[in-house]
Amino acid sequence: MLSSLWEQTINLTLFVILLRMMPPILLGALGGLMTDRAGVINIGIEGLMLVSAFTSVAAGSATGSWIIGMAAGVLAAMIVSYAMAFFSLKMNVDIIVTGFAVNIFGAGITVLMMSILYDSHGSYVPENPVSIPNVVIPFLDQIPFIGKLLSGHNLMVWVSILAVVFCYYLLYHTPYGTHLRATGEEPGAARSLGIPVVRIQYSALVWSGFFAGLAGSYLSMGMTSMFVRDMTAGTGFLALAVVIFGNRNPFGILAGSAVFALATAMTMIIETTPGNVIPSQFIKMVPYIVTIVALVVYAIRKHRKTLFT
Amino acid sequence: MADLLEMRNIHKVYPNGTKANQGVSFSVRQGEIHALVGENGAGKSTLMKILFGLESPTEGDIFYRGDKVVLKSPKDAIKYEIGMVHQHFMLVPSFTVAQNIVLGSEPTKGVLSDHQKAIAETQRLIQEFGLKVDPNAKVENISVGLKQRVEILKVLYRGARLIILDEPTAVLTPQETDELFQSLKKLVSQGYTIIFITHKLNEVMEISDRITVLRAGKTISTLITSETSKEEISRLMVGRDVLLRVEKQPAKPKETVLSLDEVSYVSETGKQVLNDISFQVRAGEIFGIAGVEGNGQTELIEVITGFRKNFKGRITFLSQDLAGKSIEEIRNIGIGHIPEDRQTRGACLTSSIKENLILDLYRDKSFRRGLFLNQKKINEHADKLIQEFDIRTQSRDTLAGALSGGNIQKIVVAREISKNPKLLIAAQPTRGVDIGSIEFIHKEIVKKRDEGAAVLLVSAELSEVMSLSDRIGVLYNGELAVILENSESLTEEEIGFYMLGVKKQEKRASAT
Repeated sequence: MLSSLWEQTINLTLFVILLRMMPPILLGALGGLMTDRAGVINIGIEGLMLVSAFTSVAAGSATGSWIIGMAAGVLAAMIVSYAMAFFSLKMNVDIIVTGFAVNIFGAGITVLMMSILYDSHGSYVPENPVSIPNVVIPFLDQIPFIGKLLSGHNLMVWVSILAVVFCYYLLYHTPYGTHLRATGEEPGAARSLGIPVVRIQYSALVWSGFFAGLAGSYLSMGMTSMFVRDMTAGTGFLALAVVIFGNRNPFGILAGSAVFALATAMTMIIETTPGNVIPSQFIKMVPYIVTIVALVVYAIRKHRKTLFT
Repeated sequence: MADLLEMRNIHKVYPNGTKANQGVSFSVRQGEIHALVGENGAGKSTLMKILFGLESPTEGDIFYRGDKVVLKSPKDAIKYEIGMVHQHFMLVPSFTVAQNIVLGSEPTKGVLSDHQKAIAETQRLIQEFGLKVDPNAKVENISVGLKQRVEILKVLYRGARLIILDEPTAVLTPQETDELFQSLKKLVSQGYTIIFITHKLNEVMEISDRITVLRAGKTISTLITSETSKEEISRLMVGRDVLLRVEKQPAKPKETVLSLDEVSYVSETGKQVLNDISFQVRAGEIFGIAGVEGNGQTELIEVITGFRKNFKGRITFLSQDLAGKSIEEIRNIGIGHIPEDRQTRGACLTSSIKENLILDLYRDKSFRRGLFLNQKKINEHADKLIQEFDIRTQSRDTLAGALSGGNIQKIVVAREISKNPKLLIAAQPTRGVDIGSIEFIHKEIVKKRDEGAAVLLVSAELSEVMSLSDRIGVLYNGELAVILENSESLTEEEIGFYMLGVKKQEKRASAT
């Protein structure tokens, strides 16, 4: 069994699966990051992803265009996140409570709409599915190894990696990002300098809707071509763990997402290996064990840092 | 000389009916340092908030260089070259000095921030005004004095010509205060104008050109500093004669009440916050602890009062070992504690005055009737203390949170002193308290001493430690740098050297 795992590592199968699993975690975490740094952490990423996943597949299959599907999904998630901002910033509802409400809302509204539109309670598989395309790089894909390394990945894989660079520049190299971080760390100081704190927090929540929206549409139009109730299965919460684990910065989050995606990829490979003797329940635990180990490592590292500085 | 700024007949009534300003008039001349003094609640802060555009006046006009102006937000104030250094620093700890200075109006290159230019701008300001600080240092790692420089640079970067400083010396050591005053004098010589809010009269006399005194929301008088005296100012502030010095007889110390032997403490983050501290406090004396805040004072008090366990060394109270005793047990064996933070530990702001006065006594038989509280007894107790400790309130049922800081502190002092403790621990007993109440609290502490209690006083106000204490210990970096007998010849500078760690007494010789 180990030899089979090794073989798949060598021939890059593991790497390819890893990249396939990464975008939802990574994009969700970037959404969480924007809100966390602005001091209004959005724990409703999970709910936003569900809303987007359903809207994407519904709009995409109805129009036959994955672009329209994705745009609709992202827009829906942004509208819900804007509503979150309205309730928490304008109506003074606690941000954690608001996030919780969005998670419940996301799980409920998608099933409700599914039963109204498609008369189904469990899943919806469109008759004419559309999906976000894979990027095949001409010529390069002919070259062994490098072709598999770089070509044929889903568009959203590249989008999510570009989003990391985008967030890095936004947060650390623009006045807006500096204001956003100042708002999260010392809102009083930001306000005293004329920085529009509330407007920035609004924008941060809408950013989280944007990124969670992308993650959601990839779930239903990239990784799969259907919507299943609660198909996020905790990805949104995993993403929040990645925000902490990634030290609250974009590249740390990229590394963190890769670790979690690797755990999931290994699970899949071991499960499908012929002659596997390990019960599947144990294998399915791997990502969660990795979560616990990762957070413990993070806590120890942080503790050391405060200890020796 | 022409007035740079004039505030004429300012009224401010808050929506809840509080009248913070009732006809304040105030004018500042170009190039002067103008001190604004008054007790807490006299309306200083409100007036400055109006001037900085954080509040709008209910009535009254502001004139800048002779023209009437309306200040709706800090942005408007900045437009008229008015800047404010807040009492609580408005800095982002994880940002560098340069980032903090340019925050809100960063230099840009296209859509991106121009970090190089931000550093260059900061360097230019530092050179121009001689306010030395490293532009690349993170603000969380620099001292309080430097943080204040950053605040001043921030204001200068925005082009302010009139700078409001709100109680700028509250957190500084005497040396840092001197440096600040030199910087301010330099700024004034360059044509800047400064409004200096404070209630420390020594500083007013030292730094200001003119003084405006506010009381109960009204301008009482504007004085020329060289023609007035501390006594006159304090009389105008309070409305009656005030004793500025604490009147007390020499101490007659008796037996040792509290004794610390080589006490060390490592905080949960692994920092050695207390290192090998030994001292004794005797009945009938006040032992004062001086030091810049954050040098172990909080931890020292919390170790003695049982908030923090697991210290090394020995703490004994009248030959009882305090190690392992709960907070309640420690309080019940005769230790009274006025905590440094009355809002979180001293009083429960959402409870009434009478409830606050029995917070630690409700289990006492005399306040109970069977399973229930004896309301009659509690009311009598409350009325007695309200009378005795001059707590200004409508009724004993008023919520503590509705009172002024000075009156909340009086509740805490009343509760702790009325227990007749053998040891009274007073941490920052007069922080944020008006002059009238300070005088009262000081008198009560001295009275307790004269009745034979031992008093351990911790205060960030050096003048308070010096005027009350019989002996003074200085904490620096978790160590007791020195123990000094308090006498007329002891100066603030002398103590300041120990506070900054410049001087240190040989260890064993210090234990008395």
